[in-house]
Amino acid sequence: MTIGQLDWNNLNGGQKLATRYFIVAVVLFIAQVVFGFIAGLQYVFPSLFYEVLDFNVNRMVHINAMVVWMLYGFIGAVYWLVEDESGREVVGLKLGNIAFYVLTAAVTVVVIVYLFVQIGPGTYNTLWFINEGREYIEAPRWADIGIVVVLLIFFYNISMTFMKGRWSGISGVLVLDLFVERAIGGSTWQAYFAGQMHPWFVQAMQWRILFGVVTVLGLLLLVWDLLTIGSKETRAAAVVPSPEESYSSTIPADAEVKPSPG
Amino acid sequence: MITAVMFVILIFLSFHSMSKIQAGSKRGPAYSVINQRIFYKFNEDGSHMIPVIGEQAPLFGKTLSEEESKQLVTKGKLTIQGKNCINCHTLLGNGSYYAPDLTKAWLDPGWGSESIREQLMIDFLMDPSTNARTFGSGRKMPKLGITEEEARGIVAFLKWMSAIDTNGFPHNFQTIEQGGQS
Repeated sequence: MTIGQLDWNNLNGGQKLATRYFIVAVVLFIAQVVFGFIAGLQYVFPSLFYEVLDFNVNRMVHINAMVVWMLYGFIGAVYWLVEDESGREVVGLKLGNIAFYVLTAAVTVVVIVYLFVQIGPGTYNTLWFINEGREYIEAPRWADIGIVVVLLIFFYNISMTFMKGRWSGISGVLVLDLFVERAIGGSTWQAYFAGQMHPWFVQAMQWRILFGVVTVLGLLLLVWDLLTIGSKETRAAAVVPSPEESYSSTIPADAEVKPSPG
Repeated sequence: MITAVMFVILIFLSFHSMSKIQAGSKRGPAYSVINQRIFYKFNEDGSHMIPVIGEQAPLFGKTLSEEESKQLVTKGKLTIQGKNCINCHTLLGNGSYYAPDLTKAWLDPGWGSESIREQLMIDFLMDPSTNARTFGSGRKMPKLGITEEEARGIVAFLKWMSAIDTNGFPHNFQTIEQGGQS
């Protein structure tokens, strides 16, 4: 096995699902860069794609692609380590796979509507089916409901897998902090308004950043894990000789000289 | 533990904030404010400009009831959402910087004078690519298929939004001369 190469046969079920999430995340990241580049060019050449692919559409696709690839990345990261951490298979792996394809199909439809329908009349139907017109949450409302359903399936899969397997420090942070705090409390409009109306609240929120640092450290560990797949065997082979062996002063005169390991 | 406490505080603050951001509260005026002139004056207490609601000056020459005003402003808000305005403009500190800030756009001296402002806004919204002024940037608003009804709603929404006390944001804006005062 080669270090740093992903071998599909060597992955557990959660890691296979995670890989699907990572692939879509990379595609969305490329979309973020491409549409951000076009939007940037429009500052310099304002007539570029004028009334065809205007700045508001490019910026929306650019930022939404970023929001969604991060969502895919986080979901994928959790699926990647959940079987290792819990010591068992993901409880609803099939359901998780279905949720992945449903979410990806929904994202595709939303982007196609963004690019080819773009805007609608000033009615509630536009908000439900074309564009909600609110920064960072432009996705139409049907998609909002879909995202909630998919995330509930994700929450069920992760928490039930830990319930039936074993809990660890990381699983506690994941389930309690990532889901309960960040998903419900930390990133919603309530926190946004509360932060604007009561600046002292933002200070208290610094504690959340501490938890955020713990999460980021977890992600760094994960990246390290990804980059060194298969290296465990290499490390196991490089047995360091114990001091007794290395510095033995009682080497028999007829002892064979062995090549040192590695 | 901290998470649990902050979560409870957040729930409390959410309800508190909701009461503060309703139309008809201290900072966000009732929708029928679109029947009146909106001025700005410097407030020594907060050391920034605050809105002052002036005498009657009905939008499009017709005084509307609170309910009618709400309907018109809502039409404007829905149109502003449906046309994805926020991905070029900024509204109440939220949005993009490609095009001018709309928070106090109703009071922008760029509309010339009070007597032609409403008609200029309608004409511009319905055919922006022809009527646009780019101020040397070359950036022009595209045609968005805005109807006259929607354009009137947008103007009402912009007038209502300009009456919101935003703690002086955006800073250093000049207001158009209205009723002989500026």
